[in-house]
Amino acid sequence: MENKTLLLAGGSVGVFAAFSLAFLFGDLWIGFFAALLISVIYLFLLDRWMVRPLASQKTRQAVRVLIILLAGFQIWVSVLHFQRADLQSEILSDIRTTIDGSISQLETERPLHTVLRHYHLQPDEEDKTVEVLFRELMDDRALDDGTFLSSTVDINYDISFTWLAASPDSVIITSIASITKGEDPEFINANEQAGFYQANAILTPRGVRYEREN
Amino acid sequence: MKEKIKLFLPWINVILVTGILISLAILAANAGGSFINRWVLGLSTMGAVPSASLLDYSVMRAIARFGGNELSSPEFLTAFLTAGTGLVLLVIIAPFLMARGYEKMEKDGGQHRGLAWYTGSCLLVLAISTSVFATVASVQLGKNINKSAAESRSSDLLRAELMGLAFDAAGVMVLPQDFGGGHGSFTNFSSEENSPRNITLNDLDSYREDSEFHFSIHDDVADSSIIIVGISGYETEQAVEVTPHEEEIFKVMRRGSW
Repeated sequence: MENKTLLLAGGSVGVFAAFSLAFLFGDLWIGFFAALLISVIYLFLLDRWMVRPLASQKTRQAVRVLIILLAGFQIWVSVLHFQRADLQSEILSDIRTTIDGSISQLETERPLHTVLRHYHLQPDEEDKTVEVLFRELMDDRALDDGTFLSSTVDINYDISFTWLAASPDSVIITSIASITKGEDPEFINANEQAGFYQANAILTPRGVRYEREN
Repeated sequence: MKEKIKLFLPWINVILVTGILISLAILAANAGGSFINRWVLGLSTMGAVPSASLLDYSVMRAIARFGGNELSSPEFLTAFLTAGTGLVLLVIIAPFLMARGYEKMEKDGGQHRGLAWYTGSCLLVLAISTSVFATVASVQLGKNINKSAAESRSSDLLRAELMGLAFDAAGVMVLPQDFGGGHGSFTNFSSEENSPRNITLNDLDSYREDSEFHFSIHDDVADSSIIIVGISGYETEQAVEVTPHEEEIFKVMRRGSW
């Protein structure tokens, strides 16, 4: 096989070999940019072995201009496509986090505010604790095993809720997302998964606090 | 003059053939059903802008992840093969064929460029023209996406801050005056002059004066309800009506209804 045909075969195999890094890293873009790098090296060798020996200077210039335009625009458009892919992925992830955050806050704060209202507006002679009122008012949603049911049980939010009476005057509802990632990938969630969105809504006689934990 | 035309004739042929190929691809994509459309566009993309198939894959994967799923391995493999084949065709084979054509032409004394030159040149012109188009389109699209993403983010953040303020208002309204609340009324907060006053934004824990949004409580403060209005830098306005004595606590108001 002549040298130039070897160059062609080597370039093709080299591009696919470099692109195969995608399987190693599980990321197509890493492999693709490695393949682009091999392509640029190949074009440099092509210039040395096939373009430089051409007799006509005008032909050499024409081929080089075309090759530079080809490589330049392919690299440029690839970078733009990579940035767009990254941006769109980030936008979708942000939307999901916003949706889950809003659902989580609504589903945990709303029942606790109902309890808070009853607590402060109860007649003086009743004097029920936050926990007692919570159990009475959320009887159908706060299960004995610690599960707290969402207000619309027929809709799957991909968020689980649990409740805990930390003291007679403090009730906590915790929400954990099963799809949306939190800020810290190593955060251990209350359900022993790692890295997911988690927030607590805490009710005390002084009010309701909503705190995002991850 | 004739000599000049003769010199450029092969390039005119190449540009014509490339134009016809692009037109045929567009016609076939428009005329065919979704299956043909997908294949024609897929092949055209592969032969012109290999990174486009990676962009398709990345967007599909992001959408799948949004719904809590992962794309299957065949999708990964298809994107790999499409982009890899396109890259080899355009950046490895096309320049090689063109250079081969010029070698042959010089050997033949400048008479015949041969099929290799025409094939390589057509592919190169196709790749350069479509990648120029794709670059311009990507730059423009990127600007639009950035603008709409920023607006959407701002709107989401405004809604989230409004929700926080609405819950705070509902909470502080039912607290006794000893706790800084209104004892069940928005018009019964204690003041330094010992006369009741209306709730203000400063009564709300999550209210920050340095927020990027401008918030206000609508003048019409009732015993059992208030309207909190938020305005973003993009001049979008949102409002919530806070009604702590009702089960829903607050509701988002339709634009222009306050």
